[in-house]
Amino acid sequence: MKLRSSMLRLYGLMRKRRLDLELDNEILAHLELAERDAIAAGMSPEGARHAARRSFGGIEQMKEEHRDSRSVLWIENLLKDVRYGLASLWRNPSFTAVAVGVLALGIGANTAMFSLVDGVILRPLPFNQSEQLVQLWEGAPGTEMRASGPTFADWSEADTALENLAAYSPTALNLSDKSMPERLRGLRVSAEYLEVFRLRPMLGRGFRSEEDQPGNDKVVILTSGLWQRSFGGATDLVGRTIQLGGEARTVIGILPAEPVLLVEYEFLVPLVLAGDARARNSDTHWLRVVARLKPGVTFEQARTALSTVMENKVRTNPQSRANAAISVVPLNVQMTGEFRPKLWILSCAVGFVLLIACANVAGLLLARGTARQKEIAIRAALGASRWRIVRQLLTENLLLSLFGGVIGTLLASWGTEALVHGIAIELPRAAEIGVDSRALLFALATSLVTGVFFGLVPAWQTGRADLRGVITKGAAASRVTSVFGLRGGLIVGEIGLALMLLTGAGLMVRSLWQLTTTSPGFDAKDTLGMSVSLDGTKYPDHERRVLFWDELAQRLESLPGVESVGMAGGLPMNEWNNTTIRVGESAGESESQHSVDYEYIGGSYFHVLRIPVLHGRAFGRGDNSRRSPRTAILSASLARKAFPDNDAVGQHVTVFGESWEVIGVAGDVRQHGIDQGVRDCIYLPQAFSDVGSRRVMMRTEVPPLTLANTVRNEVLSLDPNQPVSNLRTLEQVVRGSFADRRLMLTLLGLFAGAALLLAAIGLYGMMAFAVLQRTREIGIRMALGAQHGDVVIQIIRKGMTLAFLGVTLGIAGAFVLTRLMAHLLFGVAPTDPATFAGAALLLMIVALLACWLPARRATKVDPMIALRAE
Amino acid sequence: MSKNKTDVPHGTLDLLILRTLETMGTMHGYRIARRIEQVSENLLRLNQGSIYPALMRLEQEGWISTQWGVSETKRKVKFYSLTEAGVRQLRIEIANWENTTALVARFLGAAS
Repeated sequence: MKLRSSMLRLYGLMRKRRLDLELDNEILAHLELAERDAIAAGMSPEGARHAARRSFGGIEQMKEEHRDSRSVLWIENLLKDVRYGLASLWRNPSFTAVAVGVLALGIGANTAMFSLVDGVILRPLPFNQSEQLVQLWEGAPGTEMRASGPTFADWSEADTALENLAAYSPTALNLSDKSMPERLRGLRVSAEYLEVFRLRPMLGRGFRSEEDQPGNDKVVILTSGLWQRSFGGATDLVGRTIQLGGEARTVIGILPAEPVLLVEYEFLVPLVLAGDARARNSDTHWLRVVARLKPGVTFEQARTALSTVMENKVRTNPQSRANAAISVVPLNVQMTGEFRPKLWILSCAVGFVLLIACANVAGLLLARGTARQKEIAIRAALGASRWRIVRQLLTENLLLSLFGGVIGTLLASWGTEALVHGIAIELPRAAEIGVDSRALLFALATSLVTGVFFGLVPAWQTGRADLRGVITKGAAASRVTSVFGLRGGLIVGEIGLALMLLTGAGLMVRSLWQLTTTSPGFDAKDTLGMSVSLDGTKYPDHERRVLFWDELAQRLESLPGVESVGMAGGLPMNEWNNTTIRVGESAGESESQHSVDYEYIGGSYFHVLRIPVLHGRAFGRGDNSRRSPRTAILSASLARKAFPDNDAVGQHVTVFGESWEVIGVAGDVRQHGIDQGVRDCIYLPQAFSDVGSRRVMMRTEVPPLTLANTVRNEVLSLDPNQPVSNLRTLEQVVRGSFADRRLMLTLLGLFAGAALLLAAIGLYGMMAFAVLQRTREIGIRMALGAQHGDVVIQIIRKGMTLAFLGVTLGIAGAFVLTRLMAHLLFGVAPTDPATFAGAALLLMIVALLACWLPARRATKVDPMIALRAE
Repeated sequence: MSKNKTDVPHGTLDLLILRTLETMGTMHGYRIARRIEQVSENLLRLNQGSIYPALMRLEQEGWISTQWGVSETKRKVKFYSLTEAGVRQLRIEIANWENTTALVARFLGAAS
């Protein structure tokens, strides 16, 4: 803003200087000429100079007058234009209202969308030198996995490229200091984590390098949100201990409000890798890794440096690692990656809406220009130059678009709020979204550009008014045809754009329909899920934990309305873990490796989720004990891949370094989401996990949520200090897995609806205007015996020709554009003929309606009145 | 300055300039001023400088246009010429002037 205004001032100053200089030169030239003439007339040089001065008059006084007249006129003209424009808009309240409304819609939608895109994508992450931050994954792009402990250790050797490196893993712990136990989500982080982001606690300190070693790790850093909520913002909290996860931890720091990384998490505790069995296994991919690149190191250089380290490791110890591939992803892309293409598509869509709005207003202006030709011709006759008239009209248009912009910005600030809180809550960086000064600047720029864009052609057209023609023949007769042509072109464009949006929205509807009707491989109906996590201190040994879960399952199963109970580490479509399994002789010729999801399950998991056991058997009570032989169940797709030639049941697979006997094959599940395809999965009895935290699922015989309180009380009656969280139906979980598609559909649908409405208004407006213009002609034809039907058909044919042209163009455009959204679609091709046909048909029907209404009015024309109309 | 010179009648300088440009075509500021003095046979008391603010005003109204040229003293100066709108404006001003003088003349005639 500051820059802009000083630029303007500078421009004004330069303009004044230049004009002053020109005037000085002109005066000098004038005096020289006068002097020369006087000398020629016989005066002495001295006398001539005096005479020239004398007849010129007061120079300074004249300069002042000159300055006055040029500046005042400039401003005065502008004021005059504005005043005249306001008056002229005021005289036509219905035109003004429609135009401002249409523009407000277009500018408002675009400003709201800009706020979203700006907050999520355009603005850099709010960290120091955030462009140096990267997320690291094992595996090539496309097959990224979380890192294993050994891999993370290897990466820290790539210190030529990395300034800081940190691993983290989400966790949840019970906070039991207070009267009501509470389950909190947090992150376990290695010591350098905060250093990677250059984040400092606002109170206390960050982690010391020795604090992620065993024995030193009983410390915690809280977010300011948790500090305020649970500890009343007590400043002396730092240094005190709190009971978190059943053990005493010293609070060493409080983080400032809302660092964008921690929106879902409320505390940080050290991630202790030394001494953790999981961290020694290179097949267990569980660590998320972030790093800060050294200044000047590019992403590609970092990738090379890390790959080199990994390749060396694989070369020296081929057993250690499946492969050395690595993915380096800029952190802002990582955080917003999947939303980027969606937001760009939505931006395109909303841009189309604005284009249609512009075309619409341009059409209105052309019509109005025709009606105003007499007024303009008179102004021209009174000596207004063409540029002066065009400027006047442009001022009017800019006023329109600025009004539209103001109302649109109000709409946008309301709409953005609704968007973020209502449907886009899952957007990354949602907290950063809002209509701020950048958005306001965007709205202003959009208003000005649209004002010129939709206004220039009509203003030029109108300004070109042919004086004599208008004044002698009357406004209606002249230029109608060419204006009709231009307006027609606008309508064709509008309809084409609207069709593209409709097709896009149609494809989303079809995708969503496919998603809701495709089976995920399990039955989410009538199932209730919840998370229960045991404190390690309260249930220190494995036996007691297993006992707890058995007891809980029995109690829940005996509740009226509960049919069966199952347990797993994660809810379907919500959480999963990967590992690599080996099949066949170790390191032998026949060995094959498979990257799979794994799940430790208990209770009647398959029965609850209605996952069929296709072959062999499900786990029985006898399998679910550490003393039992190790047994496993494979998903059908995995069984086919791992044992292509023979029956999987009875074979052995190696998981986590142990051999497991396959006792069954279960149906495939789309574990990562319905749209993600089937994932290979291996199921193991939960007794072999640490069973600290479980997702408990119940199949119910009554509506699931009616059991919520009963279930919660049952857990509390088993252990009064045991919190329950995430109590919800699995149907909610499944629906949540395509929430972002729903958001896309909602927005695209809204935009397409707006586009359809605007295009219909445009077509209707033009046809109504055409009928009005031709009232006389229609009257004559009816007086000469034309039938109502003929008149109607003739008018409709004209409108539908335009609609047809628009639809044809739109189909061509959609054919190109819908490819860009192919990755958003599910079960439908981007060029799905049915969707294209449907959208075209819908548009043609709406167009027919928009033509028929004015055409019908034409038949009501009374020939007598029509003939007197002029 | 002799006493028998009259001031330029209020609001007529624009008319004089437009008319001058119409008859003489494109010319620079000094020539316009001299031409007005010559036609009035030096009966008019014209501050030659006062034509420049007037020229600026007329240009802004779009009645005259300017281009750069070189004066007889080899100096870069503006040359002024009448635009189409200026021609129309001149017609209007002449008509106005004739109306006004006719009206005034009728009053004077009625009074005598």
